[in-house]
Amino acid sequence: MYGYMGKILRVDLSEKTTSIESLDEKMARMYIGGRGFGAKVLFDELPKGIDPLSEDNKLVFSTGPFVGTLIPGSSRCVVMAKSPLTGLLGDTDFGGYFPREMKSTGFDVIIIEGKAERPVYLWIHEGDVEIKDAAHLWGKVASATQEKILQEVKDNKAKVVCIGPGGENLVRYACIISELRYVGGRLGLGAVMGSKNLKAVVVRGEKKVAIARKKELDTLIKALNYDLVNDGSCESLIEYGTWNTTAPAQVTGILPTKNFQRTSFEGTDKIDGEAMVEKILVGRRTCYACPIRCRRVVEAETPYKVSPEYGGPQYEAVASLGSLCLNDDPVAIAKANELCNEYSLDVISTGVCIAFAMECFEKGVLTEEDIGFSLKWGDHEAMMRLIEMIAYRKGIGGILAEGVKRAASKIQGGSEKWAIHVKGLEMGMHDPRGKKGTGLSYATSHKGADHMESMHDEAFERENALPELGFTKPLSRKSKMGKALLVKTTQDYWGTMADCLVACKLPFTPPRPFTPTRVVEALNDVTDWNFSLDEFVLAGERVFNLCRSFNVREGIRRKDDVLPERLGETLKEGGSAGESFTKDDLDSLLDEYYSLRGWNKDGIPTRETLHRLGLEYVASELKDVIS
Amino acid sequence: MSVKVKFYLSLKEAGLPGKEMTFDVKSGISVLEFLKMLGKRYPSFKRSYLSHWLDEKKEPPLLIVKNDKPVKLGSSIEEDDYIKIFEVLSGG
Repeated sequence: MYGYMGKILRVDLSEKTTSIESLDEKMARMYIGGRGFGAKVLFDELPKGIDPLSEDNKLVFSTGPFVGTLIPGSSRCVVMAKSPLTGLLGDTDFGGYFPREMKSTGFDVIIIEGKAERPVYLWIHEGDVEIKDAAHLWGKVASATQEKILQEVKDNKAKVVCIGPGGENLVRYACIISELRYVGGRLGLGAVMGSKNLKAVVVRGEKKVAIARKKELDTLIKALNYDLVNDGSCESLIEYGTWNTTAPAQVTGILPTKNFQRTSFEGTDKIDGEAMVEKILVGRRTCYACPIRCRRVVEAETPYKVSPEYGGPQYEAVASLGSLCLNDDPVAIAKANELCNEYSLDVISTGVCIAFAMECFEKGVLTEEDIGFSLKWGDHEAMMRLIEMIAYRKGIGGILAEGVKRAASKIQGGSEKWAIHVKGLEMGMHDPRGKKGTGLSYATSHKGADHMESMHDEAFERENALPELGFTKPLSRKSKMGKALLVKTTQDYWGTMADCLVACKLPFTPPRPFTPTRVVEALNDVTDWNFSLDEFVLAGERVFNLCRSFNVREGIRRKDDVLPERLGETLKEGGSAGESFTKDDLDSLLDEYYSLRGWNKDGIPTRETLHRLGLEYVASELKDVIS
Repeated sequence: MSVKVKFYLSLKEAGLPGKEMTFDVKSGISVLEFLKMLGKRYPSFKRSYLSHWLDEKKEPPLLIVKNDKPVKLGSSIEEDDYIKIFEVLSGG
């Protein structure tokens, strides 16, 4: 089978056993890889209602057909499990070099089950799998963990993903960190690793994936690489990384500020792309086989020492640890980002939890006595203390470690209204009042308020944004018009399929040159399949509905497809002044969206829809709730 | 007077010959007038980024940065200003 190694590794930590299963081509064609494989494993194997932090949960590392090739942006890995943050299907993904190395071990997928008696790490190399003792690593931060492991395996080409104290202490939004800078941030899968006493997964391999039409693929890759660097569409990404988003977010009024009370920040000129480049940038890095090099290397001495060893903050961290908390110090943002990476905490959820606590403090619901110190807006020294308290679950940190939804439920005092999340996942750094499609995507994604699940509205404000998928007329980012179809289509094509291939979503974003036609051409060249664009998008729709079905089985309905009440408040200033996103706005969008999806009015895929997608067995599993 | 402009958008979509160019413009020209001038010279730029929005009297989906600071369409351009024109994109 071209494009795949054809093997799935299953590790049972309770029994200390490993087994190897075959990956058949039928499954590959149906679910493609990455999220598709992970969703299938978890839907098929996890009973309804299991505790995500129990040994019943399973953790799936999954690559796809693009991984291991030289397609730009293709060294990515999807990690999935039932999320301890949302109690729903959880998935996250990361880039770097680990994904390619994992596939080079000969496995497309690694399924980790059970719970080790004592801390362990997995060492997977050249077809061999060792469950190694990690008791001496427990308690160590990410950098010390990686350093020690690389000494032990005596192979400096090995690649490590690990957790720090945040994952060990079961912070519900603990992340997984690879090579200290590539982060699978969202939904608390680091806590799932911690719950299994799994400190790290280490891979090293030399196997090469077979490519069906190598000559054609090489020609395509050469053209793609040329266009990515030269056609101008990635110029801001190359020069500023994802910091290229900060100034536009300020100008358009979608920059989350003061816990989503506002969408413009008076300190933006101190933390935008220009400022960050001037003040802390010392280098750029890349993921395997990508010419864009959007990764930032940062360093600083004062007011905090920031090491270039860790990846610099990306836009999401700049906003969540910056404007959201009224912190306009670029070094403090970089330090907070570094601490999150050391402890393995998701920067978005951490920032939202801190901003929530700051609002609670401002309004007197949390006091200095509750916290142990003053927690005023913009106080970055207090932020650093709080990050450590979250990672080690000390004092108020133990409550915030539960995520903003549970924290508000515990703190009360009206604080539920200041807890900004969807389905328990803290909201990404794009205020939907100024971009209605993103709001609909937040409400309907299986993850909750994740910002990488549908293409962002701004890309469609010009003509011929994505003509191959029917988007030729400009759509105003502030308008609801056309957004149900835009979100549905790009959730399937972009949010889902990029995570099945598995590939970086940034080169796929219009007007960048990895167009739908080229994406499908690349898949066919790798696999020797003959997918049309329609079949490709249909595969995305299938996986999207499988993910929704997992959540439906857990009890998710229309009542859960909501946005925070705060978004119903009208913005008073900035580039989206006058905009709100009310319950009525969302209701009207949901009616149209469900209809386009072939879901009933309660948000459940119909039997007809599941059968059309080849998911008859899912319909059978959900027979008691579907119509 | 001359101004140097760097474009952070798809050169193909905009029909532009290069990422960085120098233009001769009259002193004190507004950013909006300058964009319209570009649109006249490069019809693809006008079609992709200006027509729809100017017809509806809305701001085009572009971020204009002058000497490293974002500016509004009414801002004036002077000798030796360095202008950066970004397509507004986000995500990541």
